[in-house]
Amino acid sequence: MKYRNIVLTGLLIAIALVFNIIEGFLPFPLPGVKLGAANVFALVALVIMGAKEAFAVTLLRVVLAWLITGNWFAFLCSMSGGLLGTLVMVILYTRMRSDFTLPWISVAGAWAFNAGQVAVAAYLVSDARVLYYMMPLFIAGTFAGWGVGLLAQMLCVRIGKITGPGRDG
Amino acid sequence: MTMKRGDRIMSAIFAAMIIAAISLWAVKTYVLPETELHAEIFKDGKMIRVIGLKNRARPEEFTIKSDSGFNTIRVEENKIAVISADCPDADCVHRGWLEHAGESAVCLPHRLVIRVTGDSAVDGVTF
Amino acid sequence: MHKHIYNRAGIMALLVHSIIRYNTGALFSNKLFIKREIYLKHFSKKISLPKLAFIVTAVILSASVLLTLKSSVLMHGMLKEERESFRLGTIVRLTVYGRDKERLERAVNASMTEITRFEDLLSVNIASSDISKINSASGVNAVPVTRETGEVLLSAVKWADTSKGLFDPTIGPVVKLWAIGTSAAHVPGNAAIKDARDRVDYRHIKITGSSSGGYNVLIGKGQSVDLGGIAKGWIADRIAGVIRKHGVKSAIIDLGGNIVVIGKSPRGKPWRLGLQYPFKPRGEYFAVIEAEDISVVTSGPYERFFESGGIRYHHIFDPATGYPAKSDLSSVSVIGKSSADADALCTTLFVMGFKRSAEYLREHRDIKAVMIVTAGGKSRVVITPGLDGSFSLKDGQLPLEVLK
Repeated sequence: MKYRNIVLTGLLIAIALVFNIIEGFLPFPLPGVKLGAANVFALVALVIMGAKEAFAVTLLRVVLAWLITGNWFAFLCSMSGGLLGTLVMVILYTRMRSDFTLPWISVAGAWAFNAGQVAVAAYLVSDARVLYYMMPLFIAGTFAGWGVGLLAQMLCVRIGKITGPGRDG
Repeated sequence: MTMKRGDRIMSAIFAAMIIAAISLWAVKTYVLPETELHAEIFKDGKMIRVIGLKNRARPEEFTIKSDSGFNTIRVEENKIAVISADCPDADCVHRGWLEHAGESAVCLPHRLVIRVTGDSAVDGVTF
Repeated sequence: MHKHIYNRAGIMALLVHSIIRYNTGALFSNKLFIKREIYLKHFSKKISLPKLAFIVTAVILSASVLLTLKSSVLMHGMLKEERESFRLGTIVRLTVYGRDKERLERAVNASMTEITRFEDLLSVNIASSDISKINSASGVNAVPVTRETGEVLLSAVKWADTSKGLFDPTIGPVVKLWAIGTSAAHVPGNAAIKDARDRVDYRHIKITGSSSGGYNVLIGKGQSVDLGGIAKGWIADRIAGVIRKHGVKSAIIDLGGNIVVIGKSPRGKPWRLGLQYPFKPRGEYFAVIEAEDISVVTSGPYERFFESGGIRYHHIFDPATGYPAKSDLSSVSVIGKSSADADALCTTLFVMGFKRSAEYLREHRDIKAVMIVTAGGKSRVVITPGLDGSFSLKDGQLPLEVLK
């Protein structure tokens, strides 16, 4: 059981990392601020394994991305956003699962992720103009979050079937 | 796909976000004044021409005649300059290119002033 | 648990509804209790949490949208009247803001008329001005002048006294000799310089009041008055008065770089004034001062100068030597309510140089000033402590020091 978790976690981190780097190529007025679609893998980890693994995916993904790209501004933003986003998703999933479907939990995670990013970015850049980019970022992030959240739901239902009595999506 | 109660709340918040974003954009585009760079040309204290400096397809040159001579002005993308004049000191020509809001070139003998305005960071400069 | 949430929603809806429909008085009347029953019954079935979330978010976001656009909303509908002209030997620009176009036009027209009137009284370049008459009659007889001319002269003499002669309105002979700013600018011979500076002494100005309300002015033989160091500031103060009298609440008066601002900018924020970067193209600034109902005047060797034999000779003379003041300051700006005082003061501080200026500023702590000091090839900005907050340095490479 434990091995399975470790392997799965590693797999999810790897895919999340790829996603993260691809996201980085999206044209954005603010360098280092990301859309946050990569967070969905933390959600998948959360559903299949648990909160611990979810945090592991987020933390390791952010650290590895920093080691690879060397962009410390993005690191700080992704770290604060990632932790906040994962925390929100954990709370929503473990406590209020009956009130939310997976896509919307992903959206909530995306909002928290963006909020964390923007807050750090605004502080580091010391420029309130960062708030200007908040609205399009949140809206785009909502769509992205919902889309990957839906995919995650479909994936979890599938995996649930494959790996034994899985949790519902 | 059916939404649960929490989902509904979130989509309501999202709808409000979209509306706010649209109204913000609408106000920004239609209500706020233009902030593009342009140059104002004053002759004898009166504004005789305003030239937009943005979206210049090709450079433009024109000459302004005074009773004591002339000044030839050239306009390129986001910049303007007096490129030749027959005034004694030719300070206006030596001024070079005006590229930022607030910059100006003056030809005192011909009473000509070219000033670049836009979203200037200051309202005036004391010297 | 569900009833609990719905009750809360009902009360919030009640509050919103009562504010919109009734005045807050209704909240305290007995009607409230009856209404609340009805509201709870009515809304407990209708108001859902999503709708509530929508309303709350929409309200919060709209409020923040409006706040960020507040200054633009203020600006909308504001009219601007601007007039630019060649006066006083430089470019004069008046900009007034308001919502009444006629009033703005009258204010600007009246101001330009006054500027011309003062120029006709105070300019050394106009033969019929009061000052020229005084200069023509030097050492011969007292000349009757208008009350205003007398007032400027009294002000100038007061500053000459305060500065112990570093600022001297009788600097005329030196200014004329060097002719800086004209094509006749040259380096005079030592004898000519000595002769000119010996004639500089404000104590020989005799001003007496005349029965008509004006003044009679007599200056010493060979003397000549030049009000270049205070005239612009004094005129700016008068123009500010004219503009205010016309009911204009927001304006910028720019007399060749001598600035007076009235009120705040039309966006509701203080005016932002740049301080000219010495020796860089006009319009480039090294710092910004936030100003409201105040004057900012700057003096520097870069405004007017000529070069000869590799040496720069500027237009701010030291009355004691007859030469351009050798100062380690490349720019002095004074901020204060009286533009005339600021004008005279920044000239004085420049001639003093940094060491004496610092002493003077320490003794007179109410004066706000910004100086650029150059020592050993390195420049730094020194400001008086009273400016902290309204001063922001734009050039990160210039060290900033607050005078203690």
